Amino acid sequence: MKSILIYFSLVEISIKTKLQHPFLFVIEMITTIMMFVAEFITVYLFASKIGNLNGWTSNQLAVMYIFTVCAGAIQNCFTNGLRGFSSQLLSGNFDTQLIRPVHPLIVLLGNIYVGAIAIIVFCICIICYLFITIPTYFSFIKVIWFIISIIGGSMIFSSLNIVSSGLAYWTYDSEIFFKITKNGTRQLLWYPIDIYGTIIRDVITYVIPLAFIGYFPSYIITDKTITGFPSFLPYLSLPIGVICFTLSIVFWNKGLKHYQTIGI
Amino acid sequence: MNLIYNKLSSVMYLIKIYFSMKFLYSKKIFLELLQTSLSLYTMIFIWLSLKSTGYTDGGTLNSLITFSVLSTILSSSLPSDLICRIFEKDVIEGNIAHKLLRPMTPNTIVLAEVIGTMAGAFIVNSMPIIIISLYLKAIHLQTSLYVWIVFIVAIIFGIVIYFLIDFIAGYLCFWFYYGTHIRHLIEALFIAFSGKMIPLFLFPEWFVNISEWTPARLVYNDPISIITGLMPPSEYPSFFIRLFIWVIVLTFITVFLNKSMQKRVFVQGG
Repeated sequence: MKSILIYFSLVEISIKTKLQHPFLFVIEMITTIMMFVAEFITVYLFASKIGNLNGWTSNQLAVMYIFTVCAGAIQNCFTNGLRGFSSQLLSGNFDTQLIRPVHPLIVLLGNIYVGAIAIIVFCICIICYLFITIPTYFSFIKVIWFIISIIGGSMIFSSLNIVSSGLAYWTYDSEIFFKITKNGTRQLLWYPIDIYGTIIRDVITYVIPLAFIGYFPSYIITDKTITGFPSFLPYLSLPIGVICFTLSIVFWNKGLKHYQTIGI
Repeated sequence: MNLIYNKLSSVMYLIKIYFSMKFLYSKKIFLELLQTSLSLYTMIFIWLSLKSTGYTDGGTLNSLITFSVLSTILSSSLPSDLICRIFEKDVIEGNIAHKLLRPMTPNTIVLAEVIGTMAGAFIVNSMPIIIISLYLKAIHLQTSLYVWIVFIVAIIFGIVIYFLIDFIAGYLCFWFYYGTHIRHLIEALFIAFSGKMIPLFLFPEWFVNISEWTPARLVYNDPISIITGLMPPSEYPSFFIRLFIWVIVLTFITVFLNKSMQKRVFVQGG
């Protein structure tokens, strides 16, 4: 309970720090939205021009994109503090966190990225656009599933970030792992996984369950019939997210036990 | 003459340092390659899927795959907004003062760092892709010498445009201090209009028309379209007119900002 209170205090500090420069904050929000608009336009216009990609229309691809971006934004907001973790290990600054009366992971996660709100605002705009264009995509049950799947997806993404930062205990440089999990898989998840080869399709379904972030939940919203996979998979985003998140924390703690200060 | 030689050898030394830094961690190199390969893998499967559904507009499967391979090679070699990041760091931390005291200008130092990093990235990230693509016969390029000459000129000026944009973003840090927003804007421009991810001919015509007013497509889409044969020779003159207009405009802005920046330098601390 005490840890949770400390976490929220740290989150409050992060928000207040960011709002110290309201003009810069607004500009950052606008430019971030512009970046995502550009990305969305690219995927959407391309899909519109070609008609469909392996049976997925541009609107269905937009739903998949929203799931991925929204889950990524939430993850980015709450696990952004892990990005500089390896440099803390190298400089020896991490030692100061170990003497604090709270778990070091909570301190790191407490440094949230407020700018990610911009991405969520962008996602809401796209959802509104889809709602106007295709009202059948929306019902009370679907909205509930949408929220549940986004939470599950963000937990899967977050677990990858936690594992990436945890690897720094052994490698002392985890930036490349962040790059692979963020940039390498980014484009991969914008498109339906059934277009990829069997190996990648199975890996991102059963080994690193990235397909549960956008691909499978999209079936619920778009009412598409699932083929080649068990029909219950679209509903598993949240449980899989919880399992991944728990395992990633176990891994991170294992790394913490392995940690030896470099003594600077 | 001796002074020029000394300056050039200093620049070459800096390039060598940043080039070797790229090879420091062999495992990191492998992982960087994995990241690049994943993006390329995605694009190749999109084209395979597209052509398997009988989509006939645009280029052939070979030209689309070649386009993606070349685009990946180029994007993995070009250091992403590195100039802007260097200037931002120098301005915020006050290191610009040290750089101004050196016998070389900050621009030369930054350019050396960028060229060294780019050369290293080309060897580390791009060469394996080139070798694998050639082995798998995945790339189909034009064989005409004339097209190759046009392509080389286009790619050189494309890289110049990329650097000029990055320099402009870097100089703007002297006014805004933080370059994140500028980088986001430039990234948005490149994501949408460069054809880096998807060739521009696969977009609606109104969108392609807008892209012709931006410099972003001159870095990726147009040079790659030349060597893959997606741009017919009849379009070369209009391409070069756009290219040179943008080089002149961006050079003018860069020189102007460089001069203004020198008057504006503010060193923090004492």
